[in-house]
Amino acid sequence: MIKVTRAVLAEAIFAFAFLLLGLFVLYDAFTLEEPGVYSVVSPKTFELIIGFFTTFVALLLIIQVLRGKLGIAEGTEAGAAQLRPDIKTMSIVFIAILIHIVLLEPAGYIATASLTFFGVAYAFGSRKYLKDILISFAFAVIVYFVFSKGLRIFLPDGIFENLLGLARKVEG
Amino acid sequence: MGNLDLLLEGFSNALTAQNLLYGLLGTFLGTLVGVLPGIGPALAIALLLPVTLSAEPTSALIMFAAVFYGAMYGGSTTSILLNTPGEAGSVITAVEGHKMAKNGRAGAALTTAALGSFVAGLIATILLAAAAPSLAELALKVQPAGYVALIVFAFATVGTLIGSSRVRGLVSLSVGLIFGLVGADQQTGINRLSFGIQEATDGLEVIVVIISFFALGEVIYYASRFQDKGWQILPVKGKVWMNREDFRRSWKPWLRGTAIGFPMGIIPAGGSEIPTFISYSVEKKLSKNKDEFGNGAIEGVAGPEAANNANAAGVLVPLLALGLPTSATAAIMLVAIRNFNIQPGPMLFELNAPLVWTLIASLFIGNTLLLLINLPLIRIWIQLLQIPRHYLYAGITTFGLLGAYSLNNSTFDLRLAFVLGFVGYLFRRFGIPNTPLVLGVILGPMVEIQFRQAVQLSNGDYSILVSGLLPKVIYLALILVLFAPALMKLVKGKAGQGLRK
Repeated sequence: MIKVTRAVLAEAIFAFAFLLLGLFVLYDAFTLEEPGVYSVVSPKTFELIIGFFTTFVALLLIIQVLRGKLGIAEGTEAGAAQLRPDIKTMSIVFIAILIHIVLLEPAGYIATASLTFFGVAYAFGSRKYLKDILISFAFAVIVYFVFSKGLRIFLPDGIFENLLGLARKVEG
Repeated sequence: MGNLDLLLEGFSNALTAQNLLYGLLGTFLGTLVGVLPGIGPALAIALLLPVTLSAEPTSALIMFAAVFYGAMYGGSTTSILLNTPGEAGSVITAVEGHKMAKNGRAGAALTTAALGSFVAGLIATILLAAAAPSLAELALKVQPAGYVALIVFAFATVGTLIGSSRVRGLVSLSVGLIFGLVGADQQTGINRLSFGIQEATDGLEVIVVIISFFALGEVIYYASRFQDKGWQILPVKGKVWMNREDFRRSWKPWLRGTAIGFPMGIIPAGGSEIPTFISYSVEKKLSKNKDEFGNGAIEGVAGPEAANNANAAGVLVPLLALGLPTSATAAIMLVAIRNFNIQPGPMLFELNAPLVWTLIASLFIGNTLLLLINLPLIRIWIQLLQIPRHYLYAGITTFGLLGAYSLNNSTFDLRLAFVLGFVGYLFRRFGIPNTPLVLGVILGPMVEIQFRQAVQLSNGDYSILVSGLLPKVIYLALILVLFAPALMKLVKGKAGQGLRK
């Protein structure tokens, strides 16, 4: 048996979650409602195959982890991969993405994209606030302009779109 | 009408002012995005997919061809100057190219990569134009069971040959297959794994999956490793162009690389790593300057770069002729083509002949545009590498979210991207490759359709899956590919023991 370090524990949890995923697919397959139409191969068949395959691979992965063969992120040295993740930086990135999900439709593209851009830049250590705000805003405006006006791809309008007179005219 | 006439017609379709403009824009954007560190060709194309949503099919295809070559070229630039290969196929380029850059020969390395890619792209596209139609004709005779065998072969090779660990490749593949299951079953309408969520019944959007894993997952991963040192950009000193000696040493590796890369792309066995590695070792064996290898030998850049590009074009043969993508990049091309309600596969050459030939003509045009635009502009592209990391990641995140949203104008896709981005981070953290996942999502539903058709044809007799010549040959080949290395080791080990006795 190998020594249980933080890295081993983290990867064991990942492998176990993966096993649960396989079992869940099997559960979903077994509880699938019967199709009303007749078909030679029911939708259950393929889901069962994938469920069993996943469960089998998960067991292989668990064995690997228990034997101490840990995953190494591409482009990193063996030891470096198992360093403690930087939770603070990650959290700010998560928040920046969540802002996008929550605000995009109510607040419009330019406001939301500026915030997300600024948030991620902040997470990665940028502290030149004025410059960052300007760049974030410019990025959002250019993207909005190119996509919404140039390529005619729908993006939600909001405060800044109205202020800049870019918003789609409401017809009628 | 002969194929040559069709190709010429394709050129005349492609060479309108508007389409050339799209081609230029594609080359520009493809290089722009591809040159950014951490963005490989697959992600570059996925990120640029929304740009083509509003274009008409011909223009969009030309733009894609241009983006495709542009992104490949941009990837080799980052490999050489930053030693951060954006995809498996550029790993070898990074090895020798980065050494060359360290010796102050970055210009020559970049140029041999660009010219090698052009030569390989040109020859490979000619071969593609010659091979794809005949393969498509053959493919019309392939039965569903044959398709099942081909896809299983692709799964097994991509799942086990990519990356350092077989088990981890299979983990990636199974997650991809599960994603492919989500939603209403195509035949019976029964919902699988959709948790009663309305949006999920349409299935998961492949592009959202790709953006989440390749872009968001990557950014979150770098956030988790924020304490690490950044990369160091090597300057491009002196002349950018190659000298006569460089040229003399490069042209044979270009041709050999093409000869190795293209056929290996046609076989539905994934991975651009293997052809580039083979090209590298061939060049090393044939070179008169063996001691230079490992310290920046130009042959070690010229050969693998050509192999990588020829391989990428080779992958388009099974994509167009069989509808089978075998690399992440090809998988995204498939999604892009399907967006226009065009289904690649054997019928394509009959139903959409003008469009296919326009695409092939576009590949020629994209390849040429790339050379014309990028060789003179190398210094400008290098400036892009100076973008500070925090703006780079901010841009990737924001642009990725834009791509996820604009496909269906739905915040469901954004929520999905958030969750999958985290899973993508876990994949990255635990060394699980992304390519098998992409192929699983796309080929999973395809293999199910073929599987069902096969079993329906035989009225429920599952033995049809292994009957017929093609499936038997493919499964035999598969067993050989999977177990040959282990067998060789066993035999060698025994022979070794015998010797020692």
